Amino acid sequence: MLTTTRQGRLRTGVRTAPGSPYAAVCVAFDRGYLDDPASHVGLAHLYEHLWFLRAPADLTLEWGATHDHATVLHHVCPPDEVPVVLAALADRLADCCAPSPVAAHGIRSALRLIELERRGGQERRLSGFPRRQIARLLRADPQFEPTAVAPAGPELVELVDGFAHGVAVAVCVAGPEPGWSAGDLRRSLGGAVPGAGRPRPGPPVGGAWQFRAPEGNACAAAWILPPDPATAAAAWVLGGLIDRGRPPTGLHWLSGRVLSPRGTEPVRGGLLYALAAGLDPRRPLDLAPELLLPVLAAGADDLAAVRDTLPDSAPDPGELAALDALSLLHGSPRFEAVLAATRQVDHAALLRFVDLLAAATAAAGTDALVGR
Amino acid sequence: MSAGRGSVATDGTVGTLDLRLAAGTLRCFATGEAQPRLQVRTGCVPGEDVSLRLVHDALVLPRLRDCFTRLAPTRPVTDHERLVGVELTVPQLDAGQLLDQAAEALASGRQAVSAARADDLDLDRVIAVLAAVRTRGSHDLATLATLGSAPGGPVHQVAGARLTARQVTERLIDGGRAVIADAPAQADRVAGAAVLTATHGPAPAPAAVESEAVGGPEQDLPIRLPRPAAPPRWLEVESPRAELAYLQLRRAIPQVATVRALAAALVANQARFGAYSSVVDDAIRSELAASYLWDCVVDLTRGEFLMLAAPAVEDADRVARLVLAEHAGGAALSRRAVATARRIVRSALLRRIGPAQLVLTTQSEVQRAGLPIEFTASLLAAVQDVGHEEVAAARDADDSPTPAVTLVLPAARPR
Repeated sequence: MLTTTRQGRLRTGVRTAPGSPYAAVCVAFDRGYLDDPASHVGLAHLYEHLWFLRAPADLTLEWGATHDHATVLHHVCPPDEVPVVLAALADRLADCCAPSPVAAHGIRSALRLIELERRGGQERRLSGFPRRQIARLLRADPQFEPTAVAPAGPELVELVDGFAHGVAVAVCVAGPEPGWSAGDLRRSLGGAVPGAGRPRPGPPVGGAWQFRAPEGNACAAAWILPPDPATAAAAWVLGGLIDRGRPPTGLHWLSGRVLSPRGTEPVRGGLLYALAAGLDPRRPLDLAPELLLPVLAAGADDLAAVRDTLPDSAPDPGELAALDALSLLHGSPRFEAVLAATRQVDHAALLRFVDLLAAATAAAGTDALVGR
Repeated sequence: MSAGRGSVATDGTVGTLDLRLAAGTLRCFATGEAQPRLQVRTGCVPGEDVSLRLVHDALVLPRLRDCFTRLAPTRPVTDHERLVGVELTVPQLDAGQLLDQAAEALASGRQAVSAARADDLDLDRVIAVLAAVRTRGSHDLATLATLGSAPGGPVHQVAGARLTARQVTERLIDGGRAVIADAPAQADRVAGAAVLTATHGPAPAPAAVESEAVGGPEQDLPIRLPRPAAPPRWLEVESPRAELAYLQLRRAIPQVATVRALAAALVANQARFGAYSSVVDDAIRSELAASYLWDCVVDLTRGEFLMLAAPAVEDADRVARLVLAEHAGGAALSRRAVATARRIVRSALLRRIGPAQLVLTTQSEVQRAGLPIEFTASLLAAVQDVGHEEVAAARDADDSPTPAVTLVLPAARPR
């Protein structure tokens, strides 16, 4: 199903996704918005926009996403057009990884679009998960603004030019019949991504934070969990149970899967897991892991029903290619390992998961309670 | 990808049942899923008065959900956060049972509409809330203002005047009240018909029902796209919630008689107006950096391309003019531009038949547009096959009317 290679700073993955009518190619750089320099927050998001301005600009369906520790570029095409797309992406990668400054005009255009995007986002402000606060905690900077527009100037041009230098890059293909291996893919791209990657720091695995959500009487908590399939599977199943049941007494609402439909989000060296809840005003502002215990009181039928529906929401090739790329960059478990582990999730496994959260919360102590 | 007659391909393009009864239509498609899925939508025909749709959503949709919940737990089907139908996973497909259920839901809905009274304050409140919710966001506001401004629609516009979001909401509510005041006569139109679209995996198509022939990818398949009344040429609406301007441009799909002609028109449109790497996209997003959003959606049920942009207020006219200028003229299409456009159109179509849930949405749209069951498979084959000359000829022969523009602008805010 999946073959991978690692050489220097290039990682490649090729996955067969039987039955998929289309193919996806994901390029991911091991730099996200949490890695932005303090002087130029917004750099990774800018880089994401600039990717699509690089030649050849007329390619296929493509879009990007800036993650905590990765800049992810998605490209979707008919299976028979993968070679054309890969050849074009090799040119773009070579352009990124060689000293060839991007045009200042491109940077100006991208910065203006990012500013418009930011203003447009204010109109359709989403209620719910406090993603910005989580980013601030992981970055240890209460003023951090993950959607900031990087300040323009000559320094920015230099930072953009150097963005990918020494950074690990993953290129992953998922499609019905790729017809080649990860080794073939590496050989076709190797010249475009020379050199070795520099290791980058990630957040502490085992970290735990609780904080006040920005709107309403809500509370949220975030953890960095060890990147093993069993933990990821428990988080995914628990998310399904939370969605299926009513919120535990004392909570107006509870959400445990907003970070990703798969329950957790890969970050460098770990898995980010978060919960958010609307609290009864009479209750202290604290989202203790014990509040999850009532969710676990769900019957065996509910647990089986959740487990049975998870394969139905299997990722499409675009998401699979991105998951593979993040797995290669950050050491997060492969999707099929997580899916297989969900079949083993029983009541005891969920209790162990809640214990893991509780232990991390206790270890973090009161310093982890932010916003009281 | 697409399969020939009698094929067992399970990519969601091969129809295995096409049934039309008084209550509506039922189509089934083969996919690789273990359990059959069903999407049910009810409602009025494309181009119908938006007030009817408002009353429909208040009185018929809840009954649709109640009826089908008896078969299996239902999930909401939404379009831009608006509830439009239900979806469910069923143990097996029983065509007779499904159509009976749809007939019952429609009968219940018709009865509710017939019994509706103008002095029912609860119903009046529901209509008011629905209208208010659906005119909050710029996209929905633009859509309802535009469709409501069609001849006979509730949103009357004085030529040259700019509407406000409040006016649009109030006129929609008034339109809904007018429908309720004439409820017994309007019941059939409000309830409309049911469109049931199902996917099934290894299990055979529903038995005991006469099935029509399964079609293959016939590229000369005759088609006729819906052609509702043209919207106003230029419409402006002020919204107190808007931060940026929001543009909707509606361009009729050129008149085509076959799937292959449509494929050429789609590729030509992508090269000129498409969301990725088109003449307009390059100009608006790369050269001018005037809008972070540029999208071009194909709406088969209305037979039109819907183009969307979110520019700053000072750039809105420039963006609209740029689109209108490309429509009026523009340069010839190069071979490279056509090859890119074809790759993008194919990719977009293939993505729409990827997950089974999208298969349902895609095939339901085809069904509601009154297009043949073989349409999707035929279109995929035609898009892959159509050459540069045909696309260039389709571009030159494009005689669709000037696109209609709806512009939502931020209302002046009190200091």
